[in-house]
Formats: sequence, structure tokens, C-alpha cells
Amino acid sequence: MAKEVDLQGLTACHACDLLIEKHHILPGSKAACPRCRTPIYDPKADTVNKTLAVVITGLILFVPAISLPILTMTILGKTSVNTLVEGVIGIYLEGFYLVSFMVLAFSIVVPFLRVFILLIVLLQVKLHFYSKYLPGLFRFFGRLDSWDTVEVYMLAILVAVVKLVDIAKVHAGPGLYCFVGLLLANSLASTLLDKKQVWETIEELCKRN
Amino acid sequence: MQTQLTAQSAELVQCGDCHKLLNYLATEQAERLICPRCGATVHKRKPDSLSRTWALVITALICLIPANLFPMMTVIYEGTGEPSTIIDGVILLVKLNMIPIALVIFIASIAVPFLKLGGLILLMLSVQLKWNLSQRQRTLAYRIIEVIGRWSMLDIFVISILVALVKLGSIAEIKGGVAATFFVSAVVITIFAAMSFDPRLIWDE
Repeated sequence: MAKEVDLQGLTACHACDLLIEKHHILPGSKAACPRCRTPIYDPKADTVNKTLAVVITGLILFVPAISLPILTMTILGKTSVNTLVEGVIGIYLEGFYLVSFMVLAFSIVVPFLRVFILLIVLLQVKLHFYSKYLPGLFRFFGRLDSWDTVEVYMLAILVAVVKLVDIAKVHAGPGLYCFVGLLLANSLASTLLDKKQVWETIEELCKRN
Repeated sequence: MQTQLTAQSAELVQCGDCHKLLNYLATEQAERLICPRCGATVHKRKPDSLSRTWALVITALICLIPANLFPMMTVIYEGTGEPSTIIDGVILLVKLNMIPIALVIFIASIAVPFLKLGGLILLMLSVQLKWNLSQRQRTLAYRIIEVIGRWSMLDIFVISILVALVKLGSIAEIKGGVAATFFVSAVVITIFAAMSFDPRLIWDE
């Protein structure tokens, strides 16, 4: 059997393993598995440039988003502020080491790695610069998907505000605006990124080098 | 009529990381198959999927018991305050007439962890006991389980924000409770459990 020729025109559904003939799909339309209905491919136009723009925005907003006050609270004339970093330190100082480690990982390390790794990968793809770390980096990026909790943190900020609104005056700090920007950049990056196209470019770069 | 030929039955295997389709036979001499495109170790099916998922699901269920019985946090307002568990927090919000927030906390902290574990148990039993349930619906259920897991971190984030923000000495203070450690463990273990289940088992005969 001429396996090589066969493989070129075929793909498999990652949810049910069905072999599917590849079709050319235009950006804006989606392909789903005919057997299990799982979306398989959703091509994006100009994915590298658009995602790169969003990722750079996210990286610029990252430092103010974690270090500037997100919320300011005033009770009886006393004021306190909260930043993402202080959220981690606060529970660490109370002795909840595992909890603080997880909050650090989920709210700071993972969002940072996502934007940072994507920036490096897309820059290399755009400039046709291949290094042996490129496939590994993009693979690691894909594995971070399940741990992306920026939207969850945003909802947590809203819940905290509603819980406090009866007993204190709560204001939005400058960090909150940066955090909302980071959230938008993060979700847009996921929407604009065409992983299949990036993998195919990486494969070509690898063959050429 | 769509052919029902799977990659596995055609001696092919798809890389779990970059989704490249590979020829299994050509490389079977090697001890393990490495994806030539992304460098990941490729398996026909996730290794020991069911036993790993069972182990993680049971561990998460055990963690959820103390997570729900012990106090999650203590709100000290003007010197007084009692430790409250997750469900106490929800009940308090309902009493204060903050129904939407109570609902959000209830869904993220109680409904999602239990539904997720219950769903995984159902999926595993349906595969192991060959139950005749709709395969399409079970695949959809798995996709939902995969996505909702991270929303359980909500309560932990709320606590980390409140602990840092409400530090006003004698006026008001919020302290974390032991349940937080168990709860965060349960959330992380459940995410790993969902990752170790292989949805292709639903379709394998």
C-alpha cells in the first residue's frame, strides 16, 4: 500500500479516531467530525500577524496587570489595595502553601507562559527562523490550554466586589483595566490562532533546516 | 454512508499534541513512537487511560469530602466572625438576597466538581460495561467536562483576593480555612483526570 500518498489526503478525528478525507476549508467556515460532531478544524486568515499583534499587547499589559492595584477598598476611612501578586503573598503568609502555589501558577505563571511562549513561537514562524526548541515550545503551549484561568479570575474579581459592596466602598484600580486588557488579549489569541497552520509552517521550517 | 474506518484500524496513529497522522507500522521497531513534527511520544490510545482516570477520580472524590466539611474561610467583622464552609457561604449569600452570586458560587464550587467527577465515572462505566448510550452525546459530555473544570478555581481566587484586600486589623479581616487546601487539590486532580481519559475509547468496539 502506498501509505505516504494516502496520509497526505487524510486526517483523523482527535475525539473518535475516525479517518477523514481532507477538504480545503475556507477561513470563516468550520469542519466537524461527521461521526462524533467534534469540531476538528476552523481555519483563520492571516493567523500569524493577527495573533502576534494581540500577543504583544498581552505581554505589555502583563506587568501592570499583576503589579498595579486591581481593587481599592475603604472602610471607616481605612483604605487597602489588592494586586494579583499580593493575592498570592496574602494566603502564603497565612500558611496555605499549596493554595498559594496553585494561585501563583494559575493566575500569574500560566497566563505569562501562554503569551510569552506564543510570542517566541510566532516570531520564529514569521521570521522563518528555526531553532530545535521551536516544536517543543509550541507543544508545551498546547498543553497549557487546560490550565488557562484568566476568565475565571475576572469572575472572581466580580464576586469579591459584590461580596464587599455592602460593608465597604470598593473601587476599581488601574490594575483592573490592565487585567481586563490581558483577558481580552488572551481570549483573542486563542480565537485568532490557527494551530494547524502554525504546525505546518514549523514542519516546513524544520525540513528546510 | 460515511466509512467507519478509524486511524487505529488502518494501522495509523494520530499525534495527541500536534494532530499529525503517522504510520504506525513503519516505526514499530522503535521502542516508542516519537512524532517527527513535534517530538511528543505518540500512543494509539492514551496509556492505561481507564485505570489512571479511576485513580485520579477516586483521589479527587476523597479530597472533596474535607473540602466540603471543613471551613473555607472566616470573615471577621468588628471582632466577631465564624468559620464558614462552602455551602455555608452559599446559604449566607442567599439569605442576603444575593441570588445571582450565590448561584455562581454554587455552580463553580459544588455543582461543577461533582458533575465533572460523576460524568467521568459515567463515561468510564459506559466504556467498561459496554453500555448502549449515544456515542455522540458521550463525546459531547466529555468535551464539556474538559472545558468546565477550570471554573472551579473561582472560589479559591475569590479567597485570595479577599484575604489580601480585607486586612484592616480590628475592623475587618478575612482568613482562609483548611478546606481551601483540599479544594484546590481536588480541582487540580480533576483536571488531570479529565486529561487522562481517552474519548476515543467511547468509539472503540
